[in-house]
Amino acid sequence: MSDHTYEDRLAIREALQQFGRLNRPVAQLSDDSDLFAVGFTSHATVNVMLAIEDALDIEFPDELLNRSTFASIDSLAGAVQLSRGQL
Amino acid sequence: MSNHHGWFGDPAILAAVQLPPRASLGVVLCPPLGQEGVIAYRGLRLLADQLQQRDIASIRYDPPGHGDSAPSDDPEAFFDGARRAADLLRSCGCSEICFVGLSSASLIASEVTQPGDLLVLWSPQPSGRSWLRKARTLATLELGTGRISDGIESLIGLELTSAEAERLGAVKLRLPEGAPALVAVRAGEAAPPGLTEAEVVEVPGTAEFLDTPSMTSVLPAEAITTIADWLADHVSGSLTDLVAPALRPELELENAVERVRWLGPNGLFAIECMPKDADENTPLVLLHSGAAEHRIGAGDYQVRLARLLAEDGAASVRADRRSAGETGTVRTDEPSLFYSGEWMADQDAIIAALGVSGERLALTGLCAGGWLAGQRTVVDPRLIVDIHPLEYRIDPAPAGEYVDEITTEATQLPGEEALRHWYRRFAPVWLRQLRDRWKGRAPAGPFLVSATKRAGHTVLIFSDLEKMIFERRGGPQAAARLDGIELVDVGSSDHALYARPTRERIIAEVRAQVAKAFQL
Repeated sequence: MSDHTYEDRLAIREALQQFGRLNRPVAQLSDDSDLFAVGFTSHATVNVMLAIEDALDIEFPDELLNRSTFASIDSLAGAVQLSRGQL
Repeated sequence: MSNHHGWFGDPAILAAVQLPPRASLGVVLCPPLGQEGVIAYRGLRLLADQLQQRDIASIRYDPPGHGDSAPSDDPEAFFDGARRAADLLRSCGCSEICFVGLSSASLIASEVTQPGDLLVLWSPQPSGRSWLRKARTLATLELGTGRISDGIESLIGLELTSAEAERLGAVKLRLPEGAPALVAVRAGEAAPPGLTEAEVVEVPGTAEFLDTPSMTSVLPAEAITTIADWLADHVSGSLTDLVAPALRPELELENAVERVRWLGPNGLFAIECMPKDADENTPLVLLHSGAAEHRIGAGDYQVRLARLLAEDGAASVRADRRSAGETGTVRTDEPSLFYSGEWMADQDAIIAALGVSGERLALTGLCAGGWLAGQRTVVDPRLIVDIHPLEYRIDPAPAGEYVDEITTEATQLPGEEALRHWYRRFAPVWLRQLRDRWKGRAPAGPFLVSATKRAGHTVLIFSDLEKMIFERRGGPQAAARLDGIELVDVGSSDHALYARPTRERIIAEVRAQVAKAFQL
């Protein structure tokens, strides 16, 4: 487990469960699972990102809008921390 | 019942008007913006069919400056198009108007609705600002941060000037005063703020319809029936006889004339674009759209290419193959015809109906359309241009088979995730080639041999993905052994041509190849 907060990861998992349209329950995924390998699509990444932004009151900067940001729960948690640092 | 296709007004709008013999209500089906509109095309046609069966008239249209309508750079064009579409229905005799807006089109429908009109918003965006944020995020994810060029930003399948983006971004969804409104939301979603006074229903299938590539989009039959039934329940006027809309069969442009055509025994809907000075020697370019999409192409690139070819002195035809666009009846269970014999028969029928000789003919298309351009047909063309090819089979697939395979591949077994992860990163070329062979994926050689036997010149245009697949299918070695093959690398990773720079590069390449082949 990295130093990202439990609350961030919970919000990310909830957003993935609601909007991720993954072909596997989020509870079965580890923090480093490849989300694109379980059906994460571009449309779903946008909806997940907006849900995370709403839940954590942050905004992802443009430079984080690439596939690697959305590759795993770990990378999303890292992006959340970077977004906080830029607000 | 009568269906009418053609242009009206200035700048001219291409419209498809479906009339029952008698009606009171006319429905304006506002087209969603960009790729959403391409994906939704067949579903909105199904809705129009169902409305017609319920004695409700409808119009589908391309806004000025978009699709097959005349050029326009007016930032108000999206909204003017909807208002003028409503006026056309009124001119047919409709006394009541409803605007229907699906997803991004909810911004248009909500903005133009007047007190006394009806309004249906299907999976609406919360606001213009929210839609822009989502659309820009999606485009940045797909195209990178360099998606703005020459002051025009590329969204997915849509180019926007800053004035257009500002206008759309300023829309706040609202309900008309004193008129019924329906908000059809996705399962588990609430109606956006400002719409809570409307009747709200949950409809299934919107994500499977819209949030997916066109290839795997599924028509949302239940949602469409729900909306059609709601509209039928809210007709308040008495039915009156309708008259045909005043549509022009031709669109006159600066250097070209476009015409609606219905080609072959299956009545394939097509737009022909002829140079004004065309004669019996004018070359003709058949432009096949990618995937199973209708004739306009991502970001309207096919329309732009057709009009530029006319400036160069070449005619062109863009047709809706079966199961696409305006062609045929829409069935919720219609099979995908990807790479099928039906598509090959459609190409034969188009060429036969046009009566064009091989000496005057060029065949071109994007991805699946490029595969079709490379297939044997009733005459041997002078030029084949295969843009972003992914498939090299010679024998067609049975209807439905290709997309069924894609869908099946998406279903994973336990442990498969880790295996796929390893394969994508580390599998050597020999293993990838072996897997292609095991999965029955055709090598490039026979396709190239077949093309070179028939065409005077064959051009394959690659971006990164297609180049990698071409190499895995043994393409470079086969091409090196053949005369008349030209390989062009446009150095992009934009397979679908969503980004303006890729589109412009491809358009320039096709124009150059046509000019060279026909000495224009």
